Amino acid sequence: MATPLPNLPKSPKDRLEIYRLFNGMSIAGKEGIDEGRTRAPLVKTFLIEHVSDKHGGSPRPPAAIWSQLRAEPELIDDQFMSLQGEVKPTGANPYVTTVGYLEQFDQRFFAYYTVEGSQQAKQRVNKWIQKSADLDSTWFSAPLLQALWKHDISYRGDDRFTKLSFSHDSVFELPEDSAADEVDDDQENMILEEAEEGSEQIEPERRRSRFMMGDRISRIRAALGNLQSGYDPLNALSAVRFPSLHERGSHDLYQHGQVTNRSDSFEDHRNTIRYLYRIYRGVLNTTEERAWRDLEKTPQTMAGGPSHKGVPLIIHFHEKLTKATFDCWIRRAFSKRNVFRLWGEPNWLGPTKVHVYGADRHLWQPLNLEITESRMIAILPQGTCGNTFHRLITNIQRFVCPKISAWIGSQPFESMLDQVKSVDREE
Amino acid sequence: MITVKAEELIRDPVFQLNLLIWAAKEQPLDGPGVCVTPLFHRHGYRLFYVEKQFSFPVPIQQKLKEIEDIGHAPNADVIVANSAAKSAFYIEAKKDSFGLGSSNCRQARAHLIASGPAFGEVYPTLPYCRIVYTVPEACRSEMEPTLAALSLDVTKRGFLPGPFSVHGLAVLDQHIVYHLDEASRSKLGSVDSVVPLLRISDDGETDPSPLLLIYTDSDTYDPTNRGHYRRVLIQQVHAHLLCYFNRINPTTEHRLTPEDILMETTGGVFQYVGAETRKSMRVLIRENVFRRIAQFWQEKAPDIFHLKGFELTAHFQDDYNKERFLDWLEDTSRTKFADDAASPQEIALADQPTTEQGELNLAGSANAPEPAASKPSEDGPSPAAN
Repeated sequence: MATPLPNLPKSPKDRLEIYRLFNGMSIAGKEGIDEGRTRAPLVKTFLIEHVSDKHGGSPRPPAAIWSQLRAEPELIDDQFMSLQGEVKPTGANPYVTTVGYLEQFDQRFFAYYTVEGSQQAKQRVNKWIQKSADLDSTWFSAPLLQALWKHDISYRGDDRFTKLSFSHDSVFELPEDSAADEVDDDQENMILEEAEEGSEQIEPERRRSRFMMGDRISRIRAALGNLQSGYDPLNALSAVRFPSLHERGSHDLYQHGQVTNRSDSFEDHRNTIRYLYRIYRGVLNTTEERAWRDLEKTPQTMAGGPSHKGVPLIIHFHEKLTKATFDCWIRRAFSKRNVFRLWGEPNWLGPTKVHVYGADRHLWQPLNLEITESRMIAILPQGTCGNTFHRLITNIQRFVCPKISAWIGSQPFESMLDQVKSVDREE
Repeated sequence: MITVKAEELIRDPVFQLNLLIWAAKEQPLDGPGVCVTPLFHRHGYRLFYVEKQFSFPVPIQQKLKEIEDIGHAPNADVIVANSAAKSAFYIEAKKDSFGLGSSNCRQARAHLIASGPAFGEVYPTLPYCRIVYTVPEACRSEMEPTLAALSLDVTKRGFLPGPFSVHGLAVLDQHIVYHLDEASRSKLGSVDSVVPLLRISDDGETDPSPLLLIYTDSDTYDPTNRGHYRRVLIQQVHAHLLCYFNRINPTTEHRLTPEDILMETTGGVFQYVGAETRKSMRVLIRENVFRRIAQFWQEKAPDIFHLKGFELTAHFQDDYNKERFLDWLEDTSRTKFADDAASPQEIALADQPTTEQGELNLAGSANAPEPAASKPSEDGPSPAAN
């Protein structure tokens, strides 16, 4: 059932009016959580990535993007605006109202704040992203979430409560006629909230693992390593809970860049968003700087001319795919509606090896791939957004192989994420 | 499905060149993440140039003016350099050895001179350079005397050649391996005389080739899959066009040339490949991609595309036309871009002016005048064969 959307002002006096409004909702929401019921809808934020001029694209101001998406943006200040959208309450006629607010952090990253229900909000954001080739989610892949756990969450107090969620669906193990092209998005936001129980739907047999660990930080820290080495799907981390550092409550981060506020402070929630935005920006910049196969001018002490730089991005699957799974994956990954959103014509070099000189279908940027039963190698031409690589890792762990190792050139992906611990937390 | 014998692959110039470039790429040092053993990279050598024409110092240029049997502007296949060690390897990949009667000797003399003190003159931070001919291992022993004789020849004529080595590619123990001589091992800081570069799959039918970083329109060495490199080239161009047209404003006019696209898809290497190869790649794109687009859409919507010479102009006017075109372009079963090689006639015509009306005949070039025989490049069509 659709959660009723509270009235949100289209033209507030300033953004602080919205901060105060969301603060009130956060307090009411937190009280609801404490009392075991939801009194007010929770504030949730989607961190959205936009093409930057580094990609040879033409970055647009958010007002122009959302005007084209018919969201009627109304500027509240230079970097903050309200957005309109159609709402369909259960049993009532649809109507257009203010659905949330967009803040521009920089040319490349936007935060969309809303109090719509998780499913409706996610569907709305997905629709915007699907309609705009220059918008994408931010992709907090399992290794990045693991690094956030390792370097941050696990130090937020031994007695604080947290939750980690793990999710893996081997959809390509299914017979072709039952392998879903689209992921069941509706289930995603339940990960940290409610595990599905008592479903009477008939499920085809395949590897499908969903786990949630909710416990004190010290207990999870003591157990997690052994659990992960013993069962591969426990490496497919899909959501983490950040206990708030300064306030009561917490903030839930999902793989697709959604953060749900379970604290009683909107300011604390926004501070968490800003923190995650800086981490993600740093990771993305590092990915692109190292991965782009570029021509750089040689130093002036040498004769002018180009030399090659740039490194391959490598993802190794800890468990080899079967021939049937590999075939199914390759056949479907390059189809129009598949979650991998890849375009290209696989060149078969062997029973379980293809080369694809293709493109990222979502951002429409070139991408060259070698895929075998045990690894994927990606070459990102100059300008191809690093988001593509992070989306690949996220989807491979979610749908192909739950335990992977990844490198950017010679550098293990995990070590690149160590910058999580050194990120400048101040602007 | 294709079947490639690794023995054939090590004689394929495009494969050889890509293998050497991968060996200079940063990768994990060992374990399952390694694509091609990063032999050069792990010893501090980085890719310095690919397909770079060497510019001789002026005194050598002046001296060469009167000499016919020494190339005036040699093109190095790959140069890897180690700034800390102040040294470089100037690598030529060859599908076969050659003797003193070969036309390759003209270019080889130039390479020997380029890798001598001239190299340090042009690149002062790299005073040491060694030229390395990489050939199939079976040809190595025949190659060495040729280079020794050529080195002596240019020395007698007053030039200073660089030291040379011959390295061999071979198939051994389920790997494509690289044989190095003692002098190169010493300079590289490696103790291994045989380095496994690339694993060959146990199934015996999987092509071990890594992703192509450099490619041309030449035939492959696999007789069952001759058009593979052209197909890769067309696929890269196809992907580029799809990305490009998805992101443009349909209300303005857009001009595309094969040069612009090939510069993008080769990471800039296109400008350094041999003139003949450059020309045939341009023609391939015009004939197999641009002409197909222009012909197909002339019937559907005659005002959108115009092909004039090598320039394709697109003006969609509105989103509807753009979306129609993109639906078509995205569907490889409809675009059907052929991977046939450009014909010698079409390549020769590349130098001809367009018709009086300025438009190329979209129906094809069947009425074109008989072209003059195109001059073959000195060492064949592939970049690695220069």
